[in-house]
Amino acid sequence: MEFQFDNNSPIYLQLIQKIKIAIASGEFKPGEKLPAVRELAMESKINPNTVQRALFQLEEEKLIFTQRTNGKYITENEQKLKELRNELASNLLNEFTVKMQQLGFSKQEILELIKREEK
Amino acid sequence: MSTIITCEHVNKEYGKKKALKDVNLSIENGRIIGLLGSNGSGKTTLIKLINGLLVPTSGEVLILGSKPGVESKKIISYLPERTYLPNNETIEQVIQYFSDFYFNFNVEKAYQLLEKLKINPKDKLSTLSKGTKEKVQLVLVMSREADVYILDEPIGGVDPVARDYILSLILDNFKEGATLIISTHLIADIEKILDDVIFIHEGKIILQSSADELRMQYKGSIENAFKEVFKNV
Amino acid sequence: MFSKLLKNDLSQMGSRIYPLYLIILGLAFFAKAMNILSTHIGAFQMIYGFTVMAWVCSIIICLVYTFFVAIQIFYRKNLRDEGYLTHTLPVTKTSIVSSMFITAIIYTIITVLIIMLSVMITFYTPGIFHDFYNAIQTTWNSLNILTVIIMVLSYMQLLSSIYCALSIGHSFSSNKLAYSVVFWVVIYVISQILNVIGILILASIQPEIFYETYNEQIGMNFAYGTFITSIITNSIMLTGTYITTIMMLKHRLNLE
Repeated sequence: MEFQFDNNSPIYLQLIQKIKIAIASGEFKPGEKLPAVRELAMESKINPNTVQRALFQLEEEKLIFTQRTNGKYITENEQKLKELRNELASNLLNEFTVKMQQLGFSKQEILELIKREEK
Repeated sequence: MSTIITCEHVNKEYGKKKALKDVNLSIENGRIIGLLGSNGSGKTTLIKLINGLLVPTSGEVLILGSKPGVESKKIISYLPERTYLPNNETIEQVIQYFSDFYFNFNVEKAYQLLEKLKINPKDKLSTLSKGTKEKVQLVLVMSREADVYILDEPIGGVDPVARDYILSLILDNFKEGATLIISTHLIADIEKILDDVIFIHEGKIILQSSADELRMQYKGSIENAFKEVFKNV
Repeated sequence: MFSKLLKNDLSQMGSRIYPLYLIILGLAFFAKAMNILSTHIGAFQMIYGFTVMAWVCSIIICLVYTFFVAIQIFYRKNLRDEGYLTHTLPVTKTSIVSSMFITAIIYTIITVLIIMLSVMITFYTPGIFHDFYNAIQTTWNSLNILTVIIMVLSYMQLLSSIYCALSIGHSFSSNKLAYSVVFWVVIYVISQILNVIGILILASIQPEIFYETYNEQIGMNFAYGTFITSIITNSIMLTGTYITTIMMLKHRLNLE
C-alpha cells in the first residue's frame, strides 16, 4: 500500500484519513491483516513513529485491533464499518457544501444541481 | 521515552566568532529529528560537539549522561558532510576497517546495499565519483546497528531524483527504535519523515517542537513555518 | 582495540615503504653481482660503480621517506578529512597517537636493519657475518650503548616534537601550517634550553672538569655525565611533547 503525502498538514492525520478511505472503499477488507508498521513506513516513505501514531488512533476508534503478537487487523464489526462510511460521507458532503456555498449556491440550488447531474 | 542527548548552556567560540550561543536541548530517543537551519547557522558545530570532535567553550554536551567519548562513539553512527574515507583503499578494505572497530557493524548489509546501488566493492575509493563516494559513506553509516544516527546534510549536493533514493535508503535501514538526527537546509524534501524539528539560526536554538504540532500551529508545511519564524528573527 | 589500531597502522605504513626495501636489497644484490662479474670482465667495473651509487641514493631516499611517511600519516589521519574517521572511532586519543608513534619507530628500526643487511650483501665476503659479530663484541661498551640509546631517543623526540607542533598549530582556525612551524621552533628552543640547564646542573655536580687537570677518569665521568644528562633531557622533551600531542587532540581538535 503506497500512500502519497503532502507537507502541509500533520502526516499522521493524513495517514489516518487514507487508511479510513481504504477500509471504507474495500481496499482493506474487513478482518484483513495490516502490513507491519515498518513495511507501511518504508512503502510510503514516512517515519515509522508516524505510522505507529496513526495506527494507535485508529485502534482507539476501534477500526483496527491487535491480535496479541500476531499483528494488526481491520475490524469485522459491521456497525463500525457502517459508521465509518457515514463519517467519511458526511465529511465529504460538508466540504462540498461549504465550497458550493462559497460559489454562491444556496442549499436548494445545490439539491437541484445534484438531481440534474443524476440524469 | 527517555532522553538520550542533552545540551546544557552550550557555547562554542572560535576566537572571536561565536558558533553556538547558550544552546539548551533535550533529544528523546527513538525519534527522527530534523536539525534545520541555513548554512553557517551552527548545525555542523553542534553535531561535531555531540560526536566529540569538538569541545564546548562552556556548558555540557551529554550522551546518556556522560560526556562524548569512547562509549558514546560506539553507539553513534555519524555521516559527516565531507568525504572522509582514505583514498588509496578499496571499499572492501574500508568495510573491513569498520567491522574491526565497530561491534555493531553489519557486513552483509553493507555488501547488500552496495549491490543494490551497483557499486563494486573492489573499486578503489580514489576512482569513484564524488556522488558515488557519498553513497558509499552513507552505506557504511547505515550498515551500523547504532542507537543514534547523525547525518549531516545527507542530501545536500544531490539531484532531486537521488534525494528520494537516499531518504529511502536511510528510512529503510536504520535500526528499529534508534534516534535519527538529520541536519539539512533542504526542508521540503525531508520534512515528511520528521518526528521533531529544531530550528537553529546564528548559533541559537530558535525553536524545538514536534513536526505535526508545528504544522498545526502554522497551518501549513514545516518549510512554511520556517519561513514564517525567520521573518521575525 | 589498540592491537587493531596497531595492525592497521603497521599495514598501512608497510605498504608504502616495502617497495623501497625491495629496491635497496635488489640494488645490493645487483651490485654484488656486478662486483663479482667485474673481477672477470673489466667492463663491469663501471656498472658496478653506478650501481653502488644508485644503491647509496636509495638508502638515503629510504631513510628520508620513512621519516616523511611517518609524519604524513599522522597528519592526514588526525588533522585532515580522514580525522573525521579516526576521531569518531571508539578508541582513546592516547591509543591513536601511541599506535602511530610505535608504528613509526618500528619501521624506522626496520629501515635501519634493512640498510645494514644491504651493506652486508653489497660488500659480502665469506665470513663477513662473523667479522661483523666480532666487531660488535669488541666495541660493545657502555658508552657506545648509551650513544645508541641517545640516538634512538633523539629520533623519537624529534618525531614527537613534530607531532606536537602539528597538533598545536592545527588547533588554530587559520594559518594552521604557519602556526605549526612556529610551535616547532618554540619546542626546539625549549629543548635547547633544557639541554643548557642540563649541562649547567651537570657542571655544578662535577665541577672538577673545569679546574682539575685532565685525566682519563675525569674525562670518562664527564662523558657519562653528559650522556646521562642528554638522556634525561631527551626523555623529558619526549614525554612532554607526547602528552601535549594527546591533550591537543583531545581538547583542541579543530577539523575543517
